[in-house]
This record gives sequence, structure tokens and C-alpha cells, in this order.
Amino acid sequence: MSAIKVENLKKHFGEVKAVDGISFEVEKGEIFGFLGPNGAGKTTTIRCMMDFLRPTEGTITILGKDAQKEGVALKEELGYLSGYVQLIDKWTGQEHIDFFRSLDGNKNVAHELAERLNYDTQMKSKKLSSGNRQKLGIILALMGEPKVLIFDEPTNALDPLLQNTVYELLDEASKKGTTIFMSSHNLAEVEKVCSLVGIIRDGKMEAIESIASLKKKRLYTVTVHFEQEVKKSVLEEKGIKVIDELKKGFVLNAKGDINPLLAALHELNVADIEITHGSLQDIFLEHYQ
Amino acid sequence: MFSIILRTLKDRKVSIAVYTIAAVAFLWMYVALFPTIQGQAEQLQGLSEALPVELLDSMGVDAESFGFETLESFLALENFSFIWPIMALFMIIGYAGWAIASDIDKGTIEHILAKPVSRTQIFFGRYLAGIAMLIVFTFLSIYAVIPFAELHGVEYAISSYWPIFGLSFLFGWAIFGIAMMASAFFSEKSKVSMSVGGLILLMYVANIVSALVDKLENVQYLSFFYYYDHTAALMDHVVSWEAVAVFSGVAIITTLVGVFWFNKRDIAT
Repeated sequence: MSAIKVENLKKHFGEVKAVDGISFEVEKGEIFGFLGPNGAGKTTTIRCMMDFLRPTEGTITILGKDAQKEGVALKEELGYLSGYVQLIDKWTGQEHIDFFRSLDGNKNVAHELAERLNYDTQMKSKKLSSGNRQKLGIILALMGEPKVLIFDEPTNALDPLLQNTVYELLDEASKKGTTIFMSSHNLAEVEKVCSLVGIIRDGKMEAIESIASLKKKRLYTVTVHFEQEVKKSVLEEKGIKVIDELKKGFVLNAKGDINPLLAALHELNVADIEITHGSLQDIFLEHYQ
Repeated sequence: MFSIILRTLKDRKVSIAVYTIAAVAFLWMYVALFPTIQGQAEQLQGLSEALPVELLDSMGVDAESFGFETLESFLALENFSFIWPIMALFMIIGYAGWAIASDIDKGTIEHILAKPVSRTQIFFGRYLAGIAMLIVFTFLSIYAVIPFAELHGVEYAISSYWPIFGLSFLFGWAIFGIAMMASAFFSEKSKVSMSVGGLILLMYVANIVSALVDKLENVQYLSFFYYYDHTAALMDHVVSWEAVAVFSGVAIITTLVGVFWFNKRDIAT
């Protein structure tokens, strides 16, 4: 039995089809990345899964329970993190932890999580930076050691070091058998953390891919400068796609495995090179249009 | 649900204290002023007789009971005709807007919705905390008259205060039911304040118009201020069954509509 099963989910707001008939399944212990550009329908899908929004059509089953009809019982086993954690300004972090713990009475590992995230639970929420707010959100989501985690862009506002701590926490939870569903618009993050990826655009599921298959679709933009003049035709003969010419250099495009390109450039005496990942939008344009 | 009630009361304790202290302070002022007013009762009575009966009616003052001979008649005229309802309305509408709509607006409601608590429990957790606040406010802002009257050596009729407590609570409960329903409908506190405040203002105007224009006499039945007969409660110790039925009925119906809608609606910030 799948830990999460979404069938033909639709959520329409009048004429606007925020989510339009998506289906997917996530197996127990899997980390599912829900990838899509802003406005694609990721948050709406998550809010339907959490029963904040009532679907126009379709069913959502999590741990064998209907997310709408058995939502209260189901939430004993769910941890949720919003993309933009909103806190009660007058409360300290500890007050948040104590109150939300009183509602589910689950096992509480908030103290260990706070230490690990280097978070001071005695500070009032209104004094917290956006990063610290996100940390408290992560503690609140993880403190009950839930069986399923639903995270909406969990590393929003976190610095790279803390992002890595969050990835570690997710990895550990997954190893303990926790199923994780996380949305992101950051392809690199999803590649690093997830085993399976669903790609949503305009409310429709464009594809569900394994990370291995997605990596083959990676796009790179390479800006390279050479020690000497190199003719464009030399690069084209090697099968390299040139986008722009610079003084003693070029802007190049590469798809999938970047090693053949690097090997080809190595033969031409490179002075300087800059490689950037193509955006998710670029991948959509390349592969899904 | 008990955790929600306790936490809500803890969060709102300053607000309850401020409104209650202000209402008690007004009451103290009126009790302290009463001996002076009583000494000039005849002159004031003469002055009031010059006022048209309709004008007194429009202010919710019974011309026949009008007077300054007793503390209760003075309080009916000065405190319960305007000051007490205004303070109660501010407290109730402010709280109801905060209880649900403001939480949705700020996005803080997502945390609680993510926990194993039903929307009905969330609604009634906040609702019962509000009712507890209303009881505390109403009780203290009415029964504080006893120590103040003792302090200033003013005679008072203790049996007058139970009916006004009951009537005032029912009046507050009906408004609270409407405000909580509005809070369940809207996602912004300001919309709750505007809609409920506007409705109450309309009722107030309807009561005045019905007293001044004979043709519109029946409009009075649409106004809570017609049923909120504080003079009868304080002077005659009477709360009409009509008032009990209207206030309780409105409170129960709006509460049920509110909880139904809160369960049904999308909650998105």
C-alpha cells in the first residue's frame, strides 16, 4: 500500500484551475520531490493534502486514511511545514512547542531539534529572523516524529549550512521509514534530497521521474574563455552548441552529462570557465513543451 | 479543546482586563456621582420632562421610569443605555475578529489545523473562551456596583442586578454569535469589524427611527436595542421572554451557521 495516494485531484477557484486532475503515489520511506515553478499548483496540492482546502474533485489517501474524511485521525501521524512559516508574535518558541504538543501529545524531540538547529526557544517570535522562524517551523513539524512529512519548500530563507542540516534531518527521517513529500522550485535541492520527482506545471502533472532520469535532463550554461583565439567552427565540429561569442570565449549550452563537454574544452587550453545550472524553467522549455 | 480555551484566555487576559477595568471605572464614576445627582433630582426631573417622549424612547429610556431617585434608574439612564453596550460591543467584535479571521489572515491557523484537532473543536475552543470572557466582563462590570455603593454610602437594590446581568449577557451572546459567524465567513479581522459594526449601527438607527416615525414603528422588532430593555430589567426586575427568545435564538442559529461554514470553507492564507 502506498503511503500517499492522490487520484485525479482537482482544485478550481471559479474559472482558475489551480490543480487540474493530478495523480501520483509515494511509497513508504520514499522522499518525493514536488517540483514546479511558482504558481504551478504545488502549494494548492499540499493544502488539499492537509485538508486546508477542499478538493473540487478527486481523492487523497495518506497512510490508508482519506485526508478529508479522516483528517483528524490522520494528522496524528503527519508533520507539516508551510513555505512561509507564520508564528504568533507574542509567543516564544517554547510556548509554540508546548501548545502544539498539548494538541497531539506525541513524543517530543523538540529540545534535540532546537539544539541541532542552533535555535533559542526562549526568544519571542516577533524578534525572530525569517531563518529562525523557518527553524521553529521545522521543529514544530518534526517534533512528534510523524510517519509522513509534508513540507512546502522547507529550506526557504535558510542559509546553505542550515539547508544541509535540514537535508540531513530529512535523510535520517527517511531512513527511519518516514515518508516525505516536499515541494520545491529548486532542482538542485530536489536532486540532492529526493528519490522520485513529480513535475507540475499549470496545475497538471507533467511527469513523474526518478532522480537518475531527471539528471539526464539537466541543462548547463557554460561560459568559457581560452588562452588563445578559438574559432566557433572548432567547437561546433566537436558537437558543442554555441549560444554566444565573447572576446576569446563563448557561451555554450550542454544537456545531460557534462563530462564530454569538459573533455572537449580541456583540449583547447581553457583560461577560465563558469558553469551554471539551467533553471527549472529552462528544463521545462527544453523537455516539456 | 481545553488546551485551546486555556491558551486563548491566557493570550487575551490583557484585553479582558482592559475592557473590564474600563467598564468598572465608568460604573464607579456613576456611583460616586450619584449622591450629587440625587441632590439635584427635582431640577433634572423637570428638565427631562421638557424632552419629547419619542426622544427618550429613541435613546432606549422609558419616560415613565425616568428619574434620578434611585441608583438603578440613574444607571439605567447613564451606564446601560450607551456606555456598557458600546464597551461590550468593542470587546466582543474585537475578540471574534481575532478568534478566527485574524488567524486565517496571518496564516497562524495552519499550525493548529495541521494538528489532530477538528475544525469544530477549534471553533468551539475559541467560542467558549469568548463566552467565558463575556461572562467575566458582564459580571464584574455589573456586580462591582455593590462595593462601590457601599463605599459611597449609596442605597442599592441587589435584586435589580440579576435581571440586568442576564439581559446583558444574552445581548452580548447574540452579538458574539453574529461576530463569530462573520469571523468564520471572512479571512480578515477588519471585514468582521466592519460587517458586524455596520449591522449593529443599522439596528441602533432602526430603533431610533421606529421611535420617531409612527409609520416605521414595526422596524423596532429588527433591532436588538428594542429587546435590550435595560430600564425594565433594572427598575422592574423583568426580562421579557421575547428578549430571551430573540437573543438566544440569534445566538444559537448564528453559532451553528458559523461552525458549519468554518467546517465547509477553504482555509488559505
